[in-house]
Amino acid sequence: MSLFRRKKFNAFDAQIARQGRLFVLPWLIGFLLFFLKPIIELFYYAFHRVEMKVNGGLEFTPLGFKNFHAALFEDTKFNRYLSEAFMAALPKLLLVLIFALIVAILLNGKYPGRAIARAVFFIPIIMASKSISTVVGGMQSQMIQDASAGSEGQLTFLISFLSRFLDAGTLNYLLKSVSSIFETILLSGVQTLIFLSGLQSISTAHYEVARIEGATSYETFWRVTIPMISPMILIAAVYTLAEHFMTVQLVEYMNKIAFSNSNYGLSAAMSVMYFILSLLLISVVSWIISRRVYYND
Amino acid sequence: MIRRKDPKTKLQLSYDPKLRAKRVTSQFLGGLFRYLLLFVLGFLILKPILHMISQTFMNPEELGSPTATWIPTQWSKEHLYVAYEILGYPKRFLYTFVTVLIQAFCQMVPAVLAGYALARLPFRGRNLIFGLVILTIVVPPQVIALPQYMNFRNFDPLRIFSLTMGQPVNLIGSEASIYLLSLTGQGLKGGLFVYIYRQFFRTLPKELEESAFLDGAGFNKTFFRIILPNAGPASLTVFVLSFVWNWNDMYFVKLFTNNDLNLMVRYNRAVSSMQEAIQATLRGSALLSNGHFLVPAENPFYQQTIANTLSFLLILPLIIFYLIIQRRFVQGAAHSGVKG
Repeated sequence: MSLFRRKKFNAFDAQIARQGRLFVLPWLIGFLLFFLKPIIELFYYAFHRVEMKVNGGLEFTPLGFKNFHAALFEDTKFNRYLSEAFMAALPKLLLVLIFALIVAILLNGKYPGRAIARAVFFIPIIMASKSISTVVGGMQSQMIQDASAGSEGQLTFLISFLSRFLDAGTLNYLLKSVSSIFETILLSGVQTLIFLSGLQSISTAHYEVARIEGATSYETFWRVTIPMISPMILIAAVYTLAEHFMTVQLVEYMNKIAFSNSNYGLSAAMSVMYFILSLLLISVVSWIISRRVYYND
Repeated sequence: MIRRKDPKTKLQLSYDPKLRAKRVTSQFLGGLFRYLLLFVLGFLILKPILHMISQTFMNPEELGSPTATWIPTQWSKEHLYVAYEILGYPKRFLYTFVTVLIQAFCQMVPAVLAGYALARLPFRGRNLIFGLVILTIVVPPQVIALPQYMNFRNFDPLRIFSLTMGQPVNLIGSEASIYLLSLTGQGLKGGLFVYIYRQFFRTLPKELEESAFLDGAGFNKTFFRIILPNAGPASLTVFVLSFVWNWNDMYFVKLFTNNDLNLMVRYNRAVSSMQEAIQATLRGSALLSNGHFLVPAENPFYQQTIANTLSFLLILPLIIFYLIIQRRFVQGAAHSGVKG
């Protein structure tokens, strides 16, 4: 790949390469100092007892695998939080991807009022914050309480109607998945963006051919739209998982152990395990998806 | 059966009037379904915001009364006043606004440089660098919070500070730590911004640079005069996302600066002990002494409402920001923002 595809310009290519390295340099410095170094230190901490001295320096006593043993077999909450984080990942991934795809398709069509629809559906990107989710969480739990108590709630009518046909367990599950729509919406802003720009890069020629060949819209969706945006599905999946692993309760717990309980070594051991496992899951998922990805170019 | 030419493709197509009627009906139903879905989902998105606004302006006496859950019968500014006082708004707003703005600009610099190099300037190891960018997106920053904290607690890259000043510098509690992270592409979601720029530059026509080079412009001139002005949509996307996410961010501010002047920090402290925050703020203020209204600081309903109002004040600048920038942002982000 070069700007000018001629051998003559080899010196020019070298110049381009030099410029490229120069431009990447600030990022690379940051990567080495503020990403790679901490990760290496994290592994080092994990195998030591770490104590902070009065002047802020650190003291290390080698411990071997004791921190890992403590995290897995002595800590009461780590196992539970860890399994929760991984059990929730795939259902959430599926929910977010499907939802984001539906929204992106809705926003991509041409119809009156599209500008307003887009403005509204981009709000989650802006609002995806802890303060909003606190409010939403409050509303949600209130809704469920109202519903289960059968008191004066917004959904009382609907729920009493539904409860004639469904048993309490099913009803509860339905209510929960409906109320998790709020959460899904807040989580799927960036993914919607990714899908939307993917949909817009599909050439209309593909759809014209499909129409002339007499494909139904169902066939068009599965044979044209899905393959064409499959690279975006991969990216959105990776992003969703990464985002999920940032927001689970476990990370707060690990930080609490480090900064409130000053048990740095234990926290580091937990982080190492979490880091490796989450990276593993993301690699497996992206490997599975990437085998089905279709690249047009 | 009617035979006629399709106007677009010039092909002879046959139309069955019955089939056509069927298609029109299904199109109509599809349109109806789309609007229904848009309306329901749009309502779900707007609901928390509308709820916040209605709670904010609700008269304290109407709290919890079922007749007034959505539209207050009497508008009141009292919650807004209390929340405004708790947040200490003008001072903290200014501080947060300025720091977040600096962070957003700092984040753009390494992202646009690296994004351009990764898209357009081939060098050996470029794919490896791109892989590392993806790695930084994938690894949760919280995982390395502890060593990162220690790094900034005893900040000493290449032992520069030990050698010149005798001891490492403590950057915890200073905004410099976050600026430094942002400026080197390791700030909040820095990897994603590099990615957005890279995808954008890949779609720019190569002729732009080629003609600039042929006209004798050097690399720097080409970059600053040709490439940057043409990267408007991507820059807008990155700037808006960076500003908004940094504004909403708790993790970096809590770990590095934890400055009470930050709105988010203040908000979190207030919410975690609502009653004390309300009482401390209003102690000695005019609201309590002249009996204008009695603040039920220990009432959980009231506390919930104040928490709502605090959230509202927290995102109000973002809502205004979004309304101003909405049209261009939506267009830019949808057309060229995050591409695969």
